[in-house]
Amino acid sequence: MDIKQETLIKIAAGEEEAFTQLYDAIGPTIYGLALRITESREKADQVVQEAFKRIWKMASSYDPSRIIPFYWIINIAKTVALENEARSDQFDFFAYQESNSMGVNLRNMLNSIDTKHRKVLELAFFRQMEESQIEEEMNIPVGTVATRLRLAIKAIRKIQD
Amino acid sequence: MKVQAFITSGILEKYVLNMTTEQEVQEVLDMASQHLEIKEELAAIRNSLQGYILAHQVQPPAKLKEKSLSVFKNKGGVESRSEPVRPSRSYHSSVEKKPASSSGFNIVGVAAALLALALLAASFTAYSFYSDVEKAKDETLNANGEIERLQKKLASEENLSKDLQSKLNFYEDRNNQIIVLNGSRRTPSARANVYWNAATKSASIDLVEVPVVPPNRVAVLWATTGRQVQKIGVLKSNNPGERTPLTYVESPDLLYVTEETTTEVERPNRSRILMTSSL
Repeated sequence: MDIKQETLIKIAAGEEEAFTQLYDAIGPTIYGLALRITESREKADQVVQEAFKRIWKMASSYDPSRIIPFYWIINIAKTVALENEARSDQFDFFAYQESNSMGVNLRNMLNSIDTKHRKVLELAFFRQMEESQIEEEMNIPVGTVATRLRLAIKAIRKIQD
Repeated sequence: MKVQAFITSGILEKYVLNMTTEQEVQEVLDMASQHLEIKEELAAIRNSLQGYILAHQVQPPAKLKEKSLSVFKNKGGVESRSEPVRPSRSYHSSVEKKPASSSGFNIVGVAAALLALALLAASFTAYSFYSDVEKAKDETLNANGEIERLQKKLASEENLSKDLQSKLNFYEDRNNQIIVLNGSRRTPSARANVYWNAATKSASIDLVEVPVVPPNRVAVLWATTGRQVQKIGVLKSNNPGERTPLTYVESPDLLYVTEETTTEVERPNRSRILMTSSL
């Protein structure tokens, strides 16, 4: 997905069409991440609305020298989602994702990553945990987090190739 | 060989996931500026991570698009909604059928008919009067409701006006020095405006974009003056344009935000800087 810097410039300038295009392009990704993090459809709805509100408000301060638009948007969405964590045992993200997915088989992708490696990636990405927190959480030696992260991403790269 | 070892160490994955320390960030930037392989590896890791993120896509409910876009359409403002109007009570027609008149001449019949007509006229008058009273009552209720609604609206507008005037006064105050705090690589989207007023000896912060802080951690704002470091506040998200008061200190050299395990901490954890700004 290639989100252009121009899109953010247009949004900052108040161009509604650019905002709509951005929603169409990245709305499902933000919604998916919001569901995964909050584990609540109601909260995920709120996260998407708040994330787009912040994107609109922050678009003028976007600095292309620091981060590409895709990750800038994802960071905003994750921040909002982590503020709205609900953690419900009754919500099965994977089942929901499977029946409302956009064509990518997430379960297949995740199954091809070693469970231990995947867990590290999930704690780092979805829970924004630091290396030391992950070591503590998973009771693993110092330095193992980096190795497992590398192996998890290597596995994803293999699937994409 | 050194490059290969650097790549396989996992530091690049940590970098892309914003898990590196300031020292590691510098190391990655230095290596990337010297070795093309590292730049390429970073791009490949970003692509893979993007693929992982995109695999989580879920089709959002259709109504969510409209809700999300309404923020933009309304320019972030809350659309004012008028109070629902009280529905008027419906009235049945007051037209009544007249009794059929007798065709035969009969004094008793005429008297009865006259009496019946008189009763009918009286009841019609009474009903009309009752109907008018009810109608007037209903109109009064509606008018009272409308007055109440307008009073509430006026009070709300007055409050908004006072609030805007207060904000305008604040932003027009030339004694207010604005210090922008920008996010570090850990949380690059974070941004805040700190307002420092030496005349009133007050300080406040408008957190435009909150820094990303892991669960059970807090973001603490520090001010450095010479060799002294003082905790001046804890970052909390606020509504757009609103400010949270801070502890005022004289002529700080530097403001910065660190990630801490508790708000009670007395010294900053300098290895976990989230936001900084030079004065």
